[in-house]
Amino acid sequence: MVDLWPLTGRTEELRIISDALAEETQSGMVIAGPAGVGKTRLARAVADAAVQAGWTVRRVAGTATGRAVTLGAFARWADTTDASPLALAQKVIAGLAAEADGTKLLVLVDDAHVLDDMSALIVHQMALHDAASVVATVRTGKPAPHAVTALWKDSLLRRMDLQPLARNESDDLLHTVLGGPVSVDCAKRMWVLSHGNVLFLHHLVEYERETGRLAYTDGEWRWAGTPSVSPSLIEVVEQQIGTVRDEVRDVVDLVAIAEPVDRAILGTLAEPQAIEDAERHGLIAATGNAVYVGHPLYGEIRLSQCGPLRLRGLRGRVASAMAQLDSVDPLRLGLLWLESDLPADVEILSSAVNIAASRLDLPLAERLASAAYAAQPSPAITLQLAYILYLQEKGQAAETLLDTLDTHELAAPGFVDGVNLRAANLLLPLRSPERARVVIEDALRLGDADRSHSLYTLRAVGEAMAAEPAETIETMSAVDYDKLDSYGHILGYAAETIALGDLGRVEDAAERASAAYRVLGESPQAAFPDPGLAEFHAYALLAAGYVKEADSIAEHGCRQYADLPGISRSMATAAHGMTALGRGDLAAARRHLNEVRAGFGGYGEVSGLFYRFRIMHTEILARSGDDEAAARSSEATRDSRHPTYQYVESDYLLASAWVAAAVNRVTEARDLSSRAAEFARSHGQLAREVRALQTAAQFGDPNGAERLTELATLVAGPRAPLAARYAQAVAGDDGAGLDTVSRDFEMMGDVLAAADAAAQASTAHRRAGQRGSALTAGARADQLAQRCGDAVSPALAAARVPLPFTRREHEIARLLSNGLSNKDIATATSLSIRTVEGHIYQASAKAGVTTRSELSALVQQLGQLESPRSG
Amino acid sequence: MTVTNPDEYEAALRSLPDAHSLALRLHDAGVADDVICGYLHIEPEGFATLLDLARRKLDTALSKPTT
Repeated sequence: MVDLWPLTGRTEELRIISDALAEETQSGMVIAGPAGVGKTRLARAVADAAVQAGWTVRRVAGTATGRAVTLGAFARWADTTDASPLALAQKVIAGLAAEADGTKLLVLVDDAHVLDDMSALIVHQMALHDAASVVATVRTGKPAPHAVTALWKDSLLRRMDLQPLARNESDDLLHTVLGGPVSVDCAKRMWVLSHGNVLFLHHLVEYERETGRLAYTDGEWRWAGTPSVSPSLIEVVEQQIGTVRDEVRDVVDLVAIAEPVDRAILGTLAEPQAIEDAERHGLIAATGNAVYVGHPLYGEIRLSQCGPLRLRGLRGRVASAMAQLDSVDPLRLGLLWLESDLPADVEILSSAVNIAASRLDLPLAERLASAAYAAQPSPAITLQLAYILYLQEKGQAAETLLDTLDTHELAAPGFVDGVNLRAANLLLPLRSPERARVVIEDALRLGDADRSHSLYTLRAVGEAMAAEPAETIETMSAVDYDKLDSYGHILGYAAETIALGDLGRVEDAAERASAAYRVLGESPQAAFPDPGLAEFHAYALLAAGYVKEADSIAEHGCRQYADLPGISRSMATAAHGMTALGRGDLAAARRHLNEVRAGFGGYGEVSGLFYRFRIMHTEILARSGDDEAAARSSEATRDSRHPTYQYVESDYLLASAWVAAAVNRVTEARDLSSRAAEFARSHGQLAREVRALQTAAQFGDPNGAERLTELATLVAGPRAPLAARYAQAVAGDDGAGLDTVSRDFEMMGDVLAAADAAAQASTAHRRAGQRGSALTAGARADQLAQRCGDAVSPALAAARVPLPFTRREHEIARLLSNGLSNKDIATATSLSIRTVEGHIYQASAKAGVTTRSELSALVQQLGQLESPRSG
Repeated sequence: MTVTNPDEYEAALRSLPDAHSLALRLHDAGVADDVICGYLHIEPEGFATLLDLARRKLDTALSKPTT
């Protein structure tokens, strides 16, 4: 009956919302307020006016019981197949737009604070992209999904904090509802109790009128009721619901347990008269065929009064009726069934598992799959549960399940059959690449020609990750892509992109990545995750020296996943952080990686997904001069090393080298970069070898020149020949050559290397007595380093110390200024203590000081004076 | 808005919901928006709309004939 009450005292509110709906952007309003203040009534009046004006209006609602169902509020427009979240979101928004058929579309979202996260995301997307006008109600003081609070926090919609009625407005309402004058005493006492809360007033009036205490006497409405204490809103509502007959309350309970309930389903569960009475009392309300409780409080009150057995029974009744219909959301049905008193139905539960997983609600998928498994541990159900456990990095639990299946049971249609699942589970969560290899080889030996293509593909994935690029390509040469499903295509192309990039065949890598993008584009309904294609593609381009192109690929990936939930967005952001580091934008790289760390939220630690990003983060911190944070990140990276991720081993060693360099351990840094180069070389990762040798040259190591010249003939792209010229210039202490190399690095986009080469040019010029050239190159190095966000490196530090030290003397003087003992310095530089003492003596003599502490103080002072960051 | 008799203005203010009259009084007294939001227990993003609404309601109240 709430709806039947007139709307009074809201004229200005309606006008403001009407004005807001007329806006091109920010079209709509969030109506916030406490329970019972009249939010929904106001929103419905807005909707009525919009319909009168020719708009198409669609209403959805968050519900307390519906919150557990991902995408529950929009289930009507969602696909019942296990499509990806992106596809589902697009489908829902497109479906709504199609229904509007060119007219203006208003989406009314009631109780948005109890929307499930994905439904909330769709509302956010509609407001963000102006796909529809949105009017949403939220109850104040209740937590809401981030996507809902962002509606007003990010200024996508205005927010109206709806206030209770004023005294005169309350009086007007009473007069209108009761259809005659109201005694001053009655109006005053009702105002004192209700404080302008419309729902409170409504139930108080209806209850007191039914009991006869509120009656029309002598030309006015008088109230004989005298509540001894002020009842709460809930008590007033409870009191009034208590007056209706049991059959009507049963209708409210059935709706509350699974709202919105389809009218047809409700019709099979309750007497038509009881449904009609519930509707007449305002205890339930229908929008089209969707029936909700008349006010969220009714549901909360009724369900809180039902015991667990009754709740299970109610769910069972609704679920049984739903199962008879075709057009129900399988996830809602599955969840109701799961929590009902009905015996487990494997088909219903299993169908819900797939939907829950594709909507990224893995804990719910696990609950459903576990229930299905408990009822019927068939091979198919076992595989389904094992897959859900694998996705949640519960490797041992998945392996225990898979271990119960024999060879034939492990075989299943599609790429993710038991063998591939078991191998992937061993490869990632269980960190056992060797056992994974054995599982695949055993399956291959069975000789099933059709299955061999997917088995070879997963073998290739393992090989690419094991830093075996040549083997990866060879394995994939045996694969007929036509025999793979879409997911198989994606993984095959991903493995080839990594391997070809490592081999220095950047054009082939780009071609494979493009093929993968095409498959993703052609399968918009695909529920499988993107393994990081943009990242692999961008890395290949970066390693080859196509820095701007790499950045462009990563940026595109970021845009693609910007508005999506889940890990894909974080992985795309990480790839963008990688290319930011590659072009020397340390601030952006740090920002992206911090965002990624928050986005992963601990996920990926077990399976190693986060390991490679942690390596990158360490290097960014070290190059930014944050040596303490870099050391901590380095330690965390070491602790999370993952045996499967061998293909990033050279990156790990290079990040460690930069951490050593950040605390002036240049010898150690050179040694680590040499080890990185050696690892890459021994594994045929030629492009990575180029990067490692270039880094060694940045540390002043001249030994890579010859190998880089050879690599320049093997690795495509501009980096290898430039790095070869770089190493040659370093080897020859060729200031002019380093100047040129610096400019070429800058043109290529690798500004960090350009800064280091310029700094080394400055030092070389100074050693050659070319003071002017030294100053010019030094200024250019500083300027480039600043452009990178105040990058630090041994080369930059050396260029800033004008003392005529040899490289070794400079290194030792810097270590000494860091407070290291001669013994520590000897260890760090792999020299004898006597040799270290000799270098300190020589350096002191050149600097004109006589003691060790004076030399230390001088180096520190010069460092501070010359550092643009510390001044 | 025409110049209003102070008594009528006060009466119009008193006829508004408490939050609206308080918002107008505090705002006219120069109290900072965030402080007003604190008094009214509303989020800062809702303040502009609240003030807009309060002014509209005040205008309506002022335009009603006094009884």
